[in-house]
Amino acid sequence: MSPATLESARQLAGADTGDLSMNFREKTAWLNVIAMVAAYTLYFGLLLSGHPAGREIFPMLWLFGSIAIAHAATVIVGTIILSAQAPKSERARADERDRAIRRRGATAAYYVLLVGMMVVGVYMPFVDGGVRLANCGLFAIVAAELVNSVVVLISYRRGWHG
Amino acid sequence: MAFREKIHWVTLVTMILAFGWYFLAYPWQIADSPAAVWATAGMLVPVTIAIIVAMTVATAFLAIRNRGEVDVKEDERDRSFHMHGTHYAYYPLVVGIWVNIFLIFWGIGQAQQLNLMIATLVVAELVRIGTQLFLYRRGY
Repeated sequence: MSPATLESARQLAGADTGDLSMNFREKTAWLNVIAMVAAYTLYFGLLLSGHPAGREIFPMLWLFGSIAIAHAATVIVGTIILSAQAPKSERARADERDRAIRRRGATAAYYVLLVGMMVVGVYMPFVDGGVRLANCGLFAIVAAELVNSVVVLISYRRGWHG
Repeated sequence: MAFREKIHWVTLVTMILAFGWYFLAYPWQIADSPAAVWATAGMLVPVTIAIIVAMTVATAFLAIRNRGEVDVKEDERDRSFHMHGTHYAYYPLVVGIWVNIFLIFWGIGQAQQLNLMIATLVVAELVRIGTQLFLYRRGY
């Protein structure tokens, strides 16, 4: 192969980095994952470090309520900003692929929640109760939602199409 | 009817019968006492055994009668039905856990909480299997 051909091939390869730009739904999936990880790492981190929310009802309600509201506000504001920046074509109703991806995420989350529920709801009442049980239930929901969002994200990244 | 659809029907009927018996025969009059937790444990053992035995026998019987379909892998349509089913079943499960968390603060008894969780699991599974059967019947 001549040096000139090699050079033009290099230029072409350089121009195509293989990166795909993110669409609106993928960006919102990222937003969900990041907001969820940040919010609930903080919540469960505080519980593990001995915060009274791990033992008493009112501190738990207060801490969880504050973090859940902050999480919701972040996601809502972030979605509004992303929506304003996205072209109108991307904000159209979810198409067949988007719906298939959503179902795929929910399917994975279902099994995580099913196992979580068996542990929290069927095993733990025999050995524990109260706030600890409620926190374990919350952990099961958060873990399932996180799996849901991560599967959605991976599906968009890998170009899964159902 | 396809082999997979028959298996879903068997699962649905088995679950309705097993958990129908469980909730009807449960000693609700002692649901507030600590003994009710052990009653739950005692009743879940025969329910679990009955489901395992019924499913094993029925699956073996259907597999013998439908030899040609036994080794056929799940196709795209089956996977799509499965995802539809689990998608719809996910929501009752989430709602059930939230209700349970709120009821813990409300002071619900341990056995009642346990039964609520079992009921949530059963409803979610019935929604999942029911959705799949509906889609198989409709031929979607």
